[in-house]
Amino acid sequence: MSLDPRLAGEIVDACAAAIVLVGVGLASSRSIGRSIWLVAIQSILVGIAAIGVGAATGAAHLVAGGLLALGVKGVVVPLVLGSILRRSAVRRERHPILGPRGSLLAAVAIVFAASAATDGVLLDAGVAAGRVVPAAIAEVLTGLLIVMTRRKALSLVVGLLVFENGIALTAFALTYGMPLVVELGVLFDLLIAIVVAWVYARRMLDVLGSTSTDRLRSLRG
Amino acid sequence: MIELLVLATIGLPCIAGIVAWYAEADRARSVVLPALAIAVVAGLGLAGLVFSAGPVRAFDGLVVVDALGAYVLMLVLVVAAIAGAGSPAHLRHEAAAGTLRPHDAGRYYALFLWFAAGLAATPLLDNLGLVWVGIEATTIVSALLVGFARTPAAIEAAWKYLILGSIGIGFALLGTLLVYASSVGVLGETSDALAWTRLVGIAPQLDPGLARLAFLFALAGYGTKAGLVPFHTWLPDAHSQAPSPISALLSGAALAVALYALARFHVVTVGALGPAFSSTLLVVFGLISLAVALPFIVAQGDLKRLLAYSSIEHLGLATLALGFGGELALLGLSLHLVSHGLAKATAFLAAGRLVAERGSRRIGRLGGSLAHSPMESRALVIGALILSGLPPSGLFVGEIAILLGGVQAGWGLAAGAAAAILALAVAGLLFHLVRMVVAPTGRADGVAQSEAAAPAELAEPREQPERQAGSSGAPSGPLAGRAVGSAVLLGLPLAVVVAAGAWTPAPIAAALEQVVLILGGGRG
Repeated sequence: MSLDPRLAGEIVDACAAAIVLVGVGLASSRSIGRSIWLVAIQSILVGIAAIGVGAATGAAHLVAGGLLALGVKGVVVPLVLGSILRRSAVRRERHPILGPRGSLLAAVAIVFAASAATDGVLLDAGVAAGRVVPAAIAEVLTGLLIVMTRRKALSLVVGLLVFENGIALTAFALTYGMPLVVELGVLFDLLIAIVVAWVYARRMLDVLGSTSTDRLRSLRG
Repeated sequence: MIELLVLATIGLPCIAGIVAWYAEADRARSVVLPALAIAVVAGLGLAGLVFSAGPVRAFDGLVVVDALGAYVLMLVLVVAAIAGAGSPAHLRHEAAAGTLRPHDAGRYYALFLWFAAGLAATPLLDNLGLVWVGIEATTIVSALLVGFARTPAAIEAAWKYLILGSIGIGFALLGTLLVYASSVGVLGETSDALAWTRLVGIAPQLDPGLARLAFLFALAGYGTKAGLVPFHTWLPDAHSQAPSPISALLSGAALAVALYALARFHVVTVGALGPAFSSTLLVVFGLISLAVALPFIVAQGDLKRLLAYSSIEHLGLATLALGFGGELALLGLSLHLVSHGLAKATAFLAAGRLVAERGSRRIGRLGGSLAHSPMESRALVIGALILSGLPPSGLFVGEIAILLGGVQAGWGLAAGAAAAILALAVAGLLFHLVRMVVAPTGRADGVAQSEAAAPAELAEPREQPERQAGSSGAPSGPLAGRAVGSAVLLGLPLAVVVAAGAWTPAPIAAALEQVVLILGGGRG
């Protein structure tokens, strides 16, 4: 399987730009349902970028890793999250620690900071590295921003997925992916982590009557 | 032969776990405990083989066990054996209290086995990427165990553990990636590019900028899992809310496994950049952990949180030792970590039983425990005396070796500060012990003061039904057997740690020397 490197480069660049845009959208979204959709789209874009790099460089394991990531993070995990959302009464992030406008500003600032910080420290430019590394760093930081500023259990899981997407993108951009056995392990762990998060979100519903982590404030000192 | 031992250590518990998941409580126990025993024996055999005959490879290089890996494997298995032996009593109490659902016992045993197998598998893997996978897998399984009680507090602790653990471990993945990125340039795109045995050899050729960044991320990531301040906030919650045998495994073994992963990164980083960079960071974070844990130990009101903060303190000291480097400090580290594992696991088991019998975890309400539950109290007192670093014990010798080694390696100021903090922590722990064991019931705590109006004798009968074998006057039949079993379970590890302070058998000393050689950057 081979793809013209220039075309692949353009595909990957376009994916990187779209990933960053979706990330900004995620940071400013208050509807949890929309966040799940957006993070699914973002994960699929990460998968496409990986497949693009793999096709251009002839790295079959990268294509396989991209397809796996696309299936697991783009389809399975969002479906699991959607099923929790349907059981839960919480649909919106009503009182986030940082409101949507603040989050939007912070997310845009992160994008600029990430491209400024990675400017000039790029390793070999290869197919991808050019615009992908800043996008990857931006998504890692956006994920952290979401985890730190939201209160609902599902929003935190979405933030983790964005963070995870940033790391996956770093992997593809810097190294053309990890060995397949490692990639498999990483994806499997992620899937299990989401299932466990799902289990706990349900227990929160059963025991606390809500999936808002606001209620989780008793352990101190 | 090696393959067989590895399968018996890792594969057997995994399969037995699947069986236990679907089994009734009694059936599960009769499957799980023998499987665990076989795994422990096989794993210790494997470790012995490595110590006596050098590193072994198996499964086409997937498994490479050197002395450091064998040491961590041994530590994990011994702690798992203690925690496993303490599990039936814990579940018996939970069943008596009516908090278990029908399948809970089987699931507890299944998750316990998978958790232990994951911890034991991690030090056997040569590939740093798979080491990451192993640690992440243990995080997920143990998150299910932390919230096992399904109380709001347990769910909160598990949720915090899951989210913070996932972010931390994400950073560790970034660190692993950066190591891969820098080694691919030297080794080419093979899965060997993450093999630790290869990485150590080519470390001087790694890109220094990437190696530096990789260590920072690994420190944040595995530091989170090892409970280093400021990444520790999940630890007191998770370790105090988990069922006590799980607390034992988390504090005694899981923290050591995370530190092990960090140590592997440290050795590679020292090879790439020289000792200054990563050693300084480890010393700084070790000291911060010691300093921050101290006030929480001194002012602690909750028995299990007290033990959890003591783990932060001890892991801080271990990190400090790793940073000091040098033969003496590293020898101290290897003695300290295993002594801590044994003593902490036993202390958690004893604390768990004491809490179950008295019905409170508030230290102030545990006054008079020596009269109420003599065996658990004695085990807890001895465990806490060991954990506070008083002689004679392996932990004491380890601490002294670490501090002297620090002075020897030119970290006099840091070693002095650590010594001062450790001395203050002794005072804190002893203060709590006196409150629990010697003080009359309910007098020592401000909260309990208001209840002191109700005479202690009135409170006593209400707790009577919860009292178990070993605490009552003259148990007979199977109860007596249980009491003897409990005494052995709680007494033996403590006796070993105390004895280690006076005398280390020659083969064990030789094994620890090999561990030191690897931590010092040799190829052992």
